[in-house]
Amino acid sequence: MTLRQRRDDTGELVTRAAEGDPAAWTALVDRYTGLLWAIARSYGLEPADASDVVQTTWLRLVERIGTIRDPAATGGWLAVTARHESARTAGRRIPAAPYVPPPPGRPDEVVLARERLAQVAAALRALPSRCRSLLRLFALAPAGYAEVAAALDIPVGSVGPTRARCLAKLRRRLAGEPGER
Amino acid sequence: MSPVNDDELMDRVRAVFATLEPVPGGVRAAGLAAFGFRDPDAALLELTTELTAAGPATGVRGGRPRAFTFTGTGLAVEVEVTGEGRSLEIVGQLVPPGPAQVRVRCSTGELTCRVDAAGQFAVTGVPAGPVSLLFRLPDAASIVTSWVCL
Repeated sequence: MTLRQRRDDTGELVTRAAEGDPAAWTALVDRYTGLLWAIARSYGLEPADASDVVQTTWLRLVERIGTIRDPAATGGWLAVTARHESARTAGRRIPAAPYVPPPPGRPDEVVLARERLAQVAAALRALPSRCRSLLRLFALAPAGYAEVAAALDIPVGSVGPTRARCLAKLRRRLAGEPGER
Repeated sequence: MSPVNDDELMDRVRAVFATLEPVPGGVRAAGLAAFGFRDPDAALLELTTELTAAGPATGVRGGRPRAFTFTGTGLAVEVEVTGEGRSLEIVGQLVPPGPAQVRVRCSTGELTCRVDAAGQFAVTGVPAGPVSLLFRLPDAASIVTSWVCL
């Protein structure tokens, strides 16, 4: 699907949901929940706080869904709303302890090892957090560049090059080069 | 690892995040449930200011008193929130003052109370999480505050 079609499709879903169509709302939730979750997690929020941020973002859309001026741009609006709400929540919390890799042997680590993804997981942890956040967005959200740009607060034109740079860094880490943080 | 192109590498990244940081099922369910709060006839009061009392946070989930102002056409609501966890207290003032019914809508359901003739109200036992106030005025008009996460 092209970005143009996705924008139009989102606009149509928002218009139908504003008229009370629950199937259109379900389609919106399925399309954008991964994006909103990835945004909240990129602010270091715990799952309980990240869940509150995603739910608050959906409630904010519901309360104004009848008066949205540009329904096709709703994906970007959701991303910006989740970003602001995440920053607000993160600002109220005691900073989380630095990330410590879990000990080997946990069930999810076993799954990763079985699927030979453990190396990729380790390389992702070693990436600068900005790159990890961008790759998480692309991984969890089948979103367009416009939504990713809104999520990261960067110009749309720099999303593609930034993604390419982050994948290159990941590739260097996988090849055993230390790379910069 | 054998050389892979960007798409193949992205597939592996996707598999790692799907395994280590999957979106919990409850998050989708809460998103679907949000549609139940759609109320096309209610007038929306937007959040215009939010203040948090100075001083160190007292708990992992916040704990400092906060003040919110919601504003719409010809009407405003000022709200103070104290406490933490599952037992927040909300004290509020309708401007201009006047009687009304207020329903505090939150993740566990609704709490109802009366706004007195001076426009004041107080609700206890509000759980942390997304909250919105729904006012029914004597002329049957409905007014809602924008959702905020307490």
